[in-house]
Amino acid sequence: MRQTEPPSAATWILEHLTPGPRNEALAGDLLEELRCGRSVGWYWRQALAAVAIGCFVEIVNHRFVLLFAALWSMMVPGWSLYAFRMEAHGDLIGRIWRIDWPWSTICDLGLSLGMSLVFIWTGLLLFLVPHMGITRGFNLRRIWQALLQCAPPFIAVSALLYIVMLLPVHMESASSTHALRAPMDGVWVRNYVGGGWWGRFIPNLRMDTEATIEHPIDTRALTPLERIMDIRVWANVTRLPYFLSMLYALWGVTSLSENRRRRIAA
Amino acid sequence: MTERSYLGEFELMILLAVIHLGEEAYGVPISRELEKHRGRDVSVGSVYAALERLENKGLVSSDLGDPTPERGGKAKRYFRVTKAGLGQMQATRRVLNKLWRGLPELKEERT
Repeated sequence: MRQTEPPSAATWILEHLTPGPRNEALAGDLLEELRCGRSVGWYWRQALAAVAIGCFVEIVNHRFVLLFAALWSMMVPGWSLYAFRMEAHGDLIGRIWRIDWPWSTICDLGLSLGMSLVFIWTGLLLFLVPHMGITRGFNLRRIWQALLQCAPPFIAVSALLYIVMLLPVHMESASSTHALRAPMDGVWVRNYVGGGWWGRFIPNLRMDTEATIEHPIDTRALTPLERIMDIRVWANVTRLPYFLSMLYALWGVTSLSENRRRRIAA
Repeated sequence: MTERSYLGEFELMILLAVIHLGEEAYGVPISRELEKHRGRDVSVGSVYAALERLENKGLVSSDLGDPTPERGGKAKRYFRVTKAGLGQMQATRRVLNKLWRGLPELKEERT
């Protein structure tokens, strides 16, 4: 006897992983075909094809968002150097560390997060304002939405990266009797470890992280351009929270279906 | 604003299928119509992707029908070709006809 009920896993995949507003009609169509005599294998193939096509279409529709987020996050190491010099100018860091704990840590974290967000917000505005001008859909509320949306994923990804990648490094080198103390000025770690704030949050993390990197470099010798052109794994790890948070914020506000809905509403 | 662009092969087939089907143009019949004429399986997802692209260009419009029990309570999405869609189809047809007319030898060779 032919099965007339669809496999629940395939239906779940279809309804939850297919992007766009067409999910319900598509799911109904596949169910109708299954009940008209199509096989369960056909249903699975169609569901997986629908998800693959939907994802491909979304990526193509957001190609400029992807490209811009990638290019802007490439600038992160250069920005980090600039931000560090700004903080160092006028001994801002020193003044923060002279405040009593826990306010010193809170201020330090706040400063680092603020600097990172300024960089992300600048990128978002540079993309969104011309984009909305071109699509004739300027909407201040959506700009605010993008600016607010980028912060939670940035914090979450930074924290996750720290736990997954840097905590084991820290623990391993802390237990080693041969832990090296590389003669770096801290700028290297500052720019390569989650925006720099983790390095200051945990004692000795700076030095330990430096020691465990296979080929440490003295970034005092690097220009901002050389930092931007650095595409090694550790440099890209630093870029990842910026890339993902920009992608998250821009993806939502620039979606084509949103534009379509707006046109229909208009 | 009129954007001058010609339809792709699959888009043109879909628009023709929608016109053929008239009031009954939703995902399943459109896919069946394409399968019947092309002689091979069509992904319903690709049909919806193309229809959505055409809708974004203003060449088709869609409405949701009433949910039915045989579809698990899910509504059908009916499509129809807009005036702009018909214009685009005619323009594509004219170009294709001109191009075909310019290939009499090829036609003879193939028959």
